[in-house]
Amino acid sequence: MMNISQSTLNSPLQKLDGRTKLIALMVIFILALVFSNPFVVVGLLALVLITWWIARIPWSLIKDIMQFFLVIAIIILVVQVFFYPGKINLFRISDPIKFIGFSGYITLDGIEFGIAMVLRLVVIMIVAPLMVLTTPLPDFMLALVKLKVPYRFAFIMTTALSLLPSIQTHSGIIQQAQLCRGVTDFEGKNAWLKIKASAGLLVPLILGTFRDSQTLDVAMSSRAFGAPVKRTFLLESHFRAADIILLVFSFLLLAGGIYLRVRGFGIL
Amino acid sequence: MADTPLIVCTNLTHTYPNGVTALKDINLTISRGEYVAFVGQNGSGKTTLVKHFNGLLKPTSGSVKVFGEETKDKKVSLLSRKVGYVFQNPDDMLFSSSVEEEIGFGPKMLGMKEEAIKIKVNEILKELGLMQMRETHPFALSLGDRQRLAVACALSLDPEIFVFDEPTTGQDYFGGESIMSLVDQLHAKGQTVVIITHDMPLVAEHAKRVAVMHQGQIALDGTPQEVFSQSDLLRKLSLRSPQVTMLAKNLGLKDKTILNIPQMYQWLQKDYLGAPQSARGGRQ
Repeated sequence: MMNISQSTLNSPLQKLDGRTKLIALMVIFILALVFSNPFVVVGLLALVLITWWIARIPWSLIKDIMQFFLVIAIIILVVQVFFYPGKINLFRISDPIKFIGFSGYITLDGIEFGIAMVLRLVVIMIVAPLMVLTTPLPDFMLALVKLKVPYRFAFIMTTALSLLPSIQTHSGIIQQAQLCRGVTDFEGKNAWLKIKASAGLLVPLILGTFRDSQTLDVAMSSRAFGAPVKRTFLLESHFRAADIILLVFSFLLLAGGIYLRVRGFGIL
Repeated sequence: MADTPLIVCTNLTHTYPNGVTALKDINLTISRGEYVAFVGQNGSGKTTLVKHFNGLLKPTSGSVKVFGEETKDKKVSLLSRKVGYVFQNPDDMLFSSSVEEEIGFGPKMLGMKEEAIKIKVNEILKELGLMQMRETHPFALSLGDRQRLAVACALSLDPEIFVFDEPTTGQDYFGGESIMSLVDQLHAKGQTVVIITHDMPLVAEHAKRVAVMHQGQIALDGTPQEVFSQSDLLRKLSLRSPQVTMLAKNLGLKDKTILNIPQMYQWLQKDYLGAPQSARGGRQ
């Protein structure tokens, strides 16, 4: 998977306050979860893709995410198509199998719901990088704290995010080391063998991550983390005009979405 | 044949996906049986260069030939049978649950039969002084022994060329010496050795050829005597000759380059202390 650093991106999204982006992210999450009509979710997906374009994040990252998600998407789709209790029967493929809840029919609403489920997850998966890749970690932490998220929880979240690129780099090095030891599966075309070979990365990767975490623990303790005093902040954040506009848009979108949902629009 | 070129880089340039050009137009030949040390500042391109020797990195332009074959289309797993690579951090290479399993992994990958693997593992355990620890979990070993185990893993594939990326980093003096004597043994057996290090006395003591890298290019290439005699140029490249070399120079030795303590001792006894004070030269 490609490694993108925040510093290489220069987009209008980077200038927004972290709180604005977090709230907009939550609105998209909520809307993706409340609507089950695939056409509405496609609209939401289009909105996210436009934002992705504005954020100037390379499209190849979506390809990487989708590669990872493909197998899960197929499983979700198949399960929904077969087991959704639909009303519009398309064709019959077998007798009903009651104990697993299969009616024997493939239904139009089952297919629609399966597609909607997959699209919902796609929206949720590709909206998160918009926040992570356009917000420096200190700003992200500040946004969480200003939104009254407990400092320790905010710290855990941002630390986990900061560890991701280093885990990614470390896993690349271990993979190289294993290639040097004659492991051929990473270079072949067989996806299953690649997945199997990836299991060999886990031992050195987990041990390395544990070691890094222990070092981090010592480093944090030696820098007064958890001292029983009210901490101050070096960075401050302020809402600008663009933040206000996006916040108003997000709240209107959320309110409109909930209103329509309550009125029965956008569901199957 | 000692002069057979094993690694040939021609106009090798490498640019990373983030746009950083780490190697610029490198021309280099390493022949069979050589003992080459690559030195240079952090970020000068040493690791990027040696990762081309076993195909871990492919040239952006130019070519790298190993045993006469272009690495561009070769798989790393195949090249690893010819070029052994020992990583800076041995922990990146280890994943098995015992030392003997770890050493046997490579031969297994090569499709060697079980009996042959056992013989091979025993040979290597004996050669590297790891026999007592054959059933120990690799991560229960000391750093020095883990480094030896990493060498053992590379050795198990019978490569003809060995690449060591900073093998003594993080080791105490004796640990470093122990690893270096292992490297020397490999070289004495006729293997080609390539080493990356920041330790100049180590280079002066062990290597037979030194290549100084600077901003993605080879700025100096020669014997340790030739390279370390150019202390002014080395300083411009942000490096320093070994202290003993500098000391001899400051004492006025101009026609030869001292590389280690025994050489210094010999020169002090024979030529310097025996000479009248007026003939000694240098900084008094």
